[in-house]
Amino acid sequence: MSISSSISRAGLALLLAAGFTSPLVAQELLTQPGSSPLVNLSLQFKTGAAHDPKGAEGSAALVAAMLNEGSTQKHSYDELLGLFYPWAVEVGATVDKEVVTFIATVHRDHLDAFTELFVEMMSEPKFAKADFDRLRDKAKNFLTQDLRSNNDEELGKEALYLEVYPKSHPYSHHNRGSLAGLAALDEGKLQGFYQEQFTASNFTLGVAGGYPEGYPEKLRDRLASSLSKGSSQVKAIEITRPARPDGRRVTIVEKDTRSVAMSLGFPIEVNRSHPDWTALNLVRSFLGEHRSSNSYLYQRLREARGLNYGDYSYIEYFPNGMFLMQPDPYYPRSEQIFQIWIRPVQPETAVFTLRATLFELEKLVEHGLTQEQFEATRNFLSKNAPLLVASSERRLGYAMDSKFYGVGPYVEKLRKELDALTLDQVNGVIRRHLQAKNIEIVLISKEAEKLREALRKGVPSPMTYNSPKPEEITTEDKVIANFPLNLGEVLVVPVNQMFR
Amino acid sequence: MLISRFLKLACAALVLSGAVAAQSLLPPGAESKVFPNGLRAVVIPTDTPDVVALQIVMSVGSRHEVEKGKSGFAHFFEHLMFRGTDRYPNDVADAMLKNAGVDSNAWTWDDQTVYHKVFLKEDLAKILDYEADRFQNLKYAEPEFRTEALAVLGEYNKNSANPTEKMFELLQDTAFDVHTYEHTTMGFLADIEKFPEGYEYSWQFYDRFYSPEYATVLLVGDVKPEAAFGLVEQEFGEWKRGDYVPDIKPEPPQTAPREGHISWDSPTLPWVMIGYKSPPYSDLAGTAALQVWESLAFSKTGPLYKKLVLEEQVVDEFQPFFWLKKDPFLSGIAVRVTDPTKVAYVRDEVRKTFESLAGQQISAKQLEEVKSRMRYSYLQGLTSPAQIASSVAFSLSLDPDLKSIDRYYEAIAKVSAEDLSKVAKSVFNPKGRTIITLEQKKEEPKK
Repeated sequence: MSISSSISRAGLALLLAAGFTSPLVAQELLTQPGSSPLVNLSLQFKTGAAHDPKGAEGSAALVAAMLNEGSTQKHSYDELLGLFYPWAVEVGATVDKEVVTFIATVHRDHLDAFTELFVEMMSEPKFAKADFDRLRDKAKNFLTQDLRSNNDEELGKEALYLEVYPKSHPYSHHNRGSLAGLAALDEGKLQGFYQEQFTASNFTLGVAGGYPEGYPEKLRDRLASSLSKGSSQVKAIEITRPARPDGRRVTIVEKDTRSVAMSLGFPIEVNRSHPDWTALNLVRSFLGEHRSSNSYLYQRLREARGLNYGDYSYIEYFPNGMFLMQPDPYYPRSEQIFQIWIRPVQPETAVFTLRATLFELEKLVEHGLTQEQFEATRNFLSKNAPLLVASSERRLGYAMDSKFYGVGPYVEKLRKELDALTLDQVNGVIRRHLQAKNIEIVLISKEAEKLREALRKGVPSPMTYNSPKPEEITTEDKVIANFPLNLGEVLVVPVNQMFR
Repeated sequence: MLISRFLKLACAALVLSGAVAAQSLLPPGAESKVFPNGLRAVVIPTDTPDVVALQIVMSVGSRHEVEKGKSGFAHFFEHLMFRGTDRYPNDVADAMLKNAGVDSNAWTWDDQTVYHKVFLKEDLAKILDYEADRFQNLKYAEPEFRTEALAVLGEYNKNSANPTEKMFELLQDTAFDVHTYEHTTMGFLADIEKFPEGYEYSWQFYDRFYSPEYATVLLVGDVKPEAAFGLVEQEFGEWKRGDYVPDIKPEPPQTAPREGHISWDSPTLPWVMIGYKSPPYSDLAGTAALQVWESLAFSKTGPLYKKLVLEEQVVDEFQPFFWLKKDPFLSGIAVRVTDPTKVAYVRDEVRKTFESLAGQQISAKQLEEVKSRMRYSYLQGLTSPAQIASSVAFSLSLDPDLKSIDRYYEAIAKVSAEDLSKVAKSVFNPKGRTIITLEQKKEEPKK
């Protein structure tokens, strides 16, 4: 892997001296040559939902959609689809708070022809009314249908983020925007946002696979000369760390649904560039490795008690978890939260499950990991790391993320730091960053008032099962049934109030 | 888990993507073997140092659930396969897999259950030992069995907010009267709720289907065929052959269009789903022609997408399904309607599009483009051992002969404009059609 910048340090200093104040980021290039006939492209702009203007939430995502699912000055979207069709190529876009990334994989048979169209899509979007209407409706329906109506788990996770970040924070709306923000947008506003944010001095280009020599540099230079130069008025945004909630704060999102989905969490100071990341990542994996039956919460809640389908924990944003086995790249963030995802439970066991989750989190904070748990999780992560980057597309994505955080290659760094880690360090990191007292809790449920009353009164929630349980479980259940919830505020929000 | 929407697409895209090529489309060096007990093994070496993908393909799925009240059992049984053995009780298996950093999971669909793992080469022998043990010596007590039944109910619950899950339930139930495809892989809720009472039956299920003649062991990655076959034989050689053949009743031909409607309790835009009875995988020519139709008429470049999504913008979700199945199943599409007053219009446009395909002239250029697309999307699927394994495992679950993959691609390459017309005429025919609509429940008029 090699990283180079097209503006030298000296050149940058000159520009700065000349009063060129913003944006300060230059174009950068990351290359991973390989022998495959496929070429992976990844074009990342340092802008995103956090940069959406107030009252125009959804700008970044909708601009991205206008670029990869809209027409250009020379071709309608339909014509572009027709040109890509025989090559089986699609340009994808991932939008997060601080970066927007366009990705494509193309066979080198079509690399030149594809590159022409790719540059055209990125630098000559048409912002046509028909595209705008279609894509804005799609964004709106994503919020009202795909989140509010069809997927209680993703709704719970996204609602948690909205609760963690106060209204004044740049992270306080969904990546796709808000309904009011989308309603206030038009093609002109989007075009303005595009010209300010998707600029020649604001991108990183990643190229991997069997590309011809000189190709990445040529593409970078073409993008640099054809993208907008941007404006010096663009202000950097300040991404602060929100305070933890005061106590255990509950939001019940009310909707007609069979079961109760749960997400819990709070902000942490650790992101991938923090010295404690590897240790905290080990704790995450121990407590709730994504979609793995081999982690603690899963074994206590699902395996031993059959409460639901799975229980996991996270220290980084991980959308679409129900459709993915491994975390996708391109969601790097300066600010992250610690999060527990409890998959839907039967309504009658909801209070018990919430208690059990808080009980386990408290236990983890108090006792930490044992030597055996530490070693097994360390072995898992060390051996599993190469499997996360088993294709060149994913390898490129992980390298782009490492670049965002300013850290070394993912696998090598993780393995080196895991090797040097001790149990004491890990348990110290737990005490430093995790706790169960100040936490946001989101529940998706019907009959919200009834649930609210049960939670507020703190009435015991004894468990019964359809089969005999070992004494260890029944004894623990008695403790959990009376576990003090100590809840602060318990709010009820009708689902149609979400993402407004 | 149930096969996810993502995997459905992946299986479709990978397996269907035929290439027009004379030579084999399998990676070079792929070998297969049949052992005396009926077990099959396939080994595909790739130049990905250290990484190995293992998939154990069982030719059993919800299609095999022939007894009333047992819908969903094949998927439930997949869960039970993770409940341990005498040699590998749960905690021992968990510790071994965790220390080896293994990615492990499984999925079930109508015709197959696939257990998949990815790990490093150094752990291959250990993992095969574990796998062979659970396929031959599974052991769980009734209390654990009853607990696992609840986890499956949890899986039903997590899916239940999604309207298309319910629509497939009704589509299959409406379109099939006799064949087991009348229920989805998840099964009927009433049957799932009765799972805890089925402990004895679960052992009968294991004896019937978890036998070597139903199984293929597939290894892809940093492996050598000869050594890998040796390991497979050592671990699975003693597995006793079974003799159970389920009595899966063929579905009589459908003679008239059918329909159904769902009134959805929570806020939603309407959906329309249309399915037509379509030929089984064993009809390679018919299957290949349908795959070409899917790409020609129902991709984003097809006329229906252009009209309903891009121009009129009355549809925003456009999800064709042309899945490969052992027996005649349904091919069609699910669309979400952006304007609740346009349901009838969208339904009729979609229906007319399918039923006019037989009369369409497909040019040589169109055919060439669709085959090019299939070839390049196939190549894009071969980027990691796990991806190759998923693609090949799906093919093997429909036909355990490794050569069948090339036969399938040859069939795609041979599809002509006349074949397309012929297949469209027989499949996209009102007699074989089932339409399901879903709309938000209307408010009761206030008195």
